[in-house]
Amino acid sequence: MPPRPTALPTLPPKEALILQLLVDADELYGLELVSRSNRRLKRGTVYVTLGRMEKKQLITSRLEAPPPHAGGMPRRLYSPTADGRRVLAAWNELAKVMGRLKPEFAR
Amino acid sequence: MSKPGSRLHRLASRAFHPDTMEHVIGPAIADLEWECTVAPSSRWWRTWVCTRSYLSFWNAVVVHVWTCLIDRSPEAVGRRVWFSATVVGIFVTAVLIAPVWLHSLRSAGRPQTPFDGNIARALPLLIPQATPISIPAGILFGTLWVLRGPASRSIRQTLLVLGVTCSLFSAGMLGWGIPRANQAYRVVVYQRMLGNVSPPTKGANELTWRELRDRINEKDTATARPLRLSYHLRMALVTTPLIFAMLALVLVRGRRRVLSWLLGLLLFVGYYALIDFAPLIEQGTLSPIAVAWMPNLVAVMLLAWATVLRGRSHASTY
Repeated sequence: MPPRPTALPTLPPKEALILQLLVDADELYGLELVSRSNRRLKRGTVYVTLGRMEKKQLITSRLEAPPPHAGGMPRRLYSPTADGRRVLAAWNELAKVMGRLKPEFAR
Repeated sequence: MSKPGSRLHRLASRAFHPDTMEHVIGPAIADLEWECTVAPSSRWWRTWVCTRSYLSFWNAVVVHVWTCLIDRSPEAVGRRVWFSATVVGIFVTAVLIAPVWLHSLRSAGRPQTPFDGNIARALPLLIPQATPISIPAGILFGTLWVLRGPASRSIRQTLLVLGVTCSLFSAGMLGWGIPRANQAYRVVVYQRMLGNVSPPTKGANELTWRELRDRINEKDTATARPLRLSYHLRMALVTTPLIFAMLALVLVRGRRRVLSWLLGLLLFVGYYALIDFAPLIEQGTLSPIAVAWMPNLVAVMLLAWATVLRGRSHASTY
């Protein structure tokens, strides 16, 4: 079993976007994430980002059942972990609080 | 008939780690196969979809390799320093050898093309000549590129190892690599391009450590003076990578990155200006040893000064 991370996990904007899309849809393919992101995710970088998020245990993945009509490679489906959901919730909460902390002149 | 990505998968599985295959390459190939399978039957549209899928696959491979090389995790800082130092070193080497190569093309006196066999043979011989500048440049600017703020103990150790390794490499290059490459380059230029049959005699820069020492011992003091300067200048240049590694450690502590880069550039240009002026200063009354080691002495004094300043600022904060 991999060790649990001790430091507060960081959540760059791309990872936050992926987590949000996965929390909304529960389970998505890589290409579906790209198409739902309104061009904010690129096909070339999405799997590298997803791989990094899996290492951070923010998401998990499984292989789909092989397509019955052809012998191609099975595609990978991604879903958020409980940790991922909590991190996203905390991150959104933090963003709200930071928004409220804006000084008077910046509002 | 095999699937569009099956050959790619076989090829990639030989080059990449199984974990990478499972999480990056595999899904990218699965997407490629899926898109090619569900693409419309129109020939042109199908070709467009498959081409786009192949491009995306290669894009994913390049991004993955690049991400591995510039891993941003704290554990990979040492590897990033080595990597950036190598990249900067290669870049500086390319910049340095380009004008010399072009000059040799012009001075050859007859029209040559870059693809001419002689030029192609001469080009690698220019690379060792660039190393006394490109290695310290790689260490200094590569470190400034990667690091910011005070360096940890492991980073200090990495830079020390980098400096010592590069100094040892420089010793080999300055003592044997450069003289031999210089002479070989002269032979190529004189004999093959200019059609001169007799091989050019070796100058001070074409002599190895031992040949230079023997030549100094053969000649009287006055005649051996330029040879002695060349000998000590090379000895001084051996320590340059280590000195610039130490200077980089001091410069990365600066709060303003642009200022650190400007200071680094100033020190670098100043150091090599002193090295270049050494033969001119040598005409005077100073001994060749003093002239050759002066740039290093100045650099060490600056390092000591910066260390004292840092010590004072530490003391004033407590």
